[in-house]
Amino acid sequence: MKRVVSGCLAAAWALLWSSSAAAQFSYDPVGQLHPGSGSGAADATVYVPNMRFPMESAPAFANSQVWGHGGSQGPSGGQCHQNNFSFPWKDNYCESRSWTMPLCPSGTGHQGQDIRAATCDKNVHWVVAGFDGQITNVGSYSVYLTRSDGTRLRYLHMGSVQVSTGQTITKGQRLGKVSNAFGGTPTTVHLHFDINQNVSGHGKVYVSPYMTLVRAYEELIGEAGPNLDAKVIRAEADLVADETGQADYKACTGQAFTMTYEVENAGKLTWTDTMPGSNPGEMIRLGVPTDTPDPFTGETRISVNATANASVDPSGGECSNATGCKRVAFTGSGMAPLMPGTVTSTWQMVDETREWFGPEMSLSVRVADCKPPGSGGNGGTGQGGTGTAGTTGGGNGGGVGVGGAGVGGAGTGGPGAGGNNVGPGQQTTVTNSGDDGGCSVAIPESNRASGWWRLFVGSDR
Amino acid sequence: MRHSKILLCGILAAATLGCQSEPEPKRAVVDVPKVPGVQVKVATPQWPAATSLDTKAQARMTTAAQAKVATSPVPALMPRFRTESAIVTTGEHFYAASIPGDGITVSVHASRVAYEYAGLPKAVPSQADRSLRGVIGRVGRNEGIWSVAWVEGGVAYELEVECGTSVDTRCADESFTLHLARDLAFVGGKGLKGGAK
Repeated sequence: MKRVVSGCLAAAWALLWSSSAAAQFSYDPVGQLHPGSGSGAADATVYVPNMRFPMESAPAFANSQVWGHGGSQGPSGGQCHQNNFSFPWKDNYCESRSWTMPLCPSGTGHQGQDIRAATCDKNVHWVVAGFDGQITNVGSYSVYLTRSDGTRLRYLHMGSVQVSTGQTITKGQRLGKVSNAFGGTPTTVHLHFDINQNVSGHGKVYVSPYMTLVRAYEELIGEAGPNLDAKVIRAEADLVADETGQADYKACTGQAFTMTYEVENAGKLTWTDTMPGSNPGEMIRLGVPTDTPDPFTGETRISVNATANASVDPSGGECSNATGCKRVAFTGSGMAPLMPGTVTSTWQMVDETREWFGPEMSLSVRVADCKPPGSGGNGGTGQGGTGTAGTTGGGNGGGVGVGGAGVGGAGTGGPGAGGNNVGPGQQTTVTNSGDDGGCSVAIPESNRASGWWRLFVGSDR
Repeated sequence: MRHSKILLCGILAAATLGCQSEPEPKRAVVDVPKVPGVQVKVATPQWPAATSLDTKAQARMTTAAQAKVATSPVPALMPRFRTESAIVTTGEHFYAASIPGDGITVSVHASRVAYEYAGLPKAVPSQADRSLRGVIGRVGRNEGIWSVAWVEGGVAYELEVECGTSVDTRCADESFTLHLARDLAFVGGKGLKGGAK
């Protein structure tokens, strides 16, 4: 009877709380530990996107067992003190321990996050699976849930464990109840939750679960939503439109140009790019969704800090040329590839390590050789580019010069008879004795189609 | 004499595509959302020679465990401790063995999928480094559970020991856990029959 009453009260309490949970939820920045409990890691990575929060119901309270009320380092009052069941959350991933933790500043740490359920009662509040997977181990006080890629979630100190090793689990399935099991010597009533993953350079290691838990909790209480969204205002380049319609623009091989992507903040949060970027909206960039260098600029990210508006306010004016506007214009200095073809550049807004948002934006450029093969001799006078590269680049038989900061030689020459034509298996050396600049070589079109080319560049002062 | 910078450019060209290396066959990683700044790599495990297969350890496993081992995408390593009680689980990219009983639980987990996150601290030598199986591993203890983690043949492994009581001498220090890790038996996997997959 006592257990039933306790369970009913806990459920009623949770119901009362849940209606206001969304309004009350708050959390301290990742890496900000309880005072005196160690040095935290400002790691805002969401290591398991879309994870189901470990507690079946809100509210839940992530904080320290050791430095909380009733803990060995905490103030008096017992583990059931009301302050232990309040916001804001506190990260305790790197909380002082003697345990090895290579991702924490001190090299040691707690390795996971302690979470209290809605009430102090044990064996009442359900713990549920974070994702689809298999139970790969059940110990005296541990349950291991492993996903197909090997990422592993671990739930410690539960009672009433419902699962067994080898069992296939679905996201949200009940695993056990929050309790205080700890190998014969009880601990405080809480769930210790951690994420283990194979991280390059480290092997299997415990990663910070804090922001993963924050996102999951926001989803649970209905606070997740389009806090971040973008609307495309324009995506353009200072090139001539492609009259063939095969691409947006056309350019000559090696031609320099500028791309501009202007977007409007269509979400709720202001966009900035500040370290440590603990909260959503604080590490906003324009990025290449494939995380590979853009074919024109060679970049993968452009920060809002590199624009005229480093604080893009959704309530600001429809401008992009000052801080506080609701729009921001990203510009990139690019160069058309040295090989003809149609090339596409694609970008998207990103809240670094959290999510891509807004639509993808693309520009396509049809790149062509702009001059027919010439009769050799000296090529262009090299007025191109931003340096003096063009001047010297054109001096060796023309062709497309690849100057220092710009495009040398303006490509007015072709692979002339006196130029440095190379064929398969051949090697050629081009010398540039200028202070700045580069060198040029002509690759006959007949030799471009097959094989691959390697460019060696050396400097000798 | 004014010093000037001289750039020397050389170009070596190959005429045939045969000079390009064959691309590594790509494997899809299930359920890995696109996370900005995160690269995911699926390793091709280096499989031990068939002659290193521990047939005695294999024979001690249950039929069900042996069948599961045969589906392991990575070399399956088994503790030589109550092997007859091992429960084996495998997934597209992982292998795990759980051995309960005798007051402790021993488990091994392995994955061939590695995540590359920008901005994480690099691994540095530490007091937790231990030599095992021809590599350097890392010993640790978390909530009373001892662990040893290492990378072998491109696969990340971790062996853990959880004692049922705090007074069990096998959890008094790292020695039992380290011994189990060093003495693991290779008991098979997918790559044993038809080559690495």
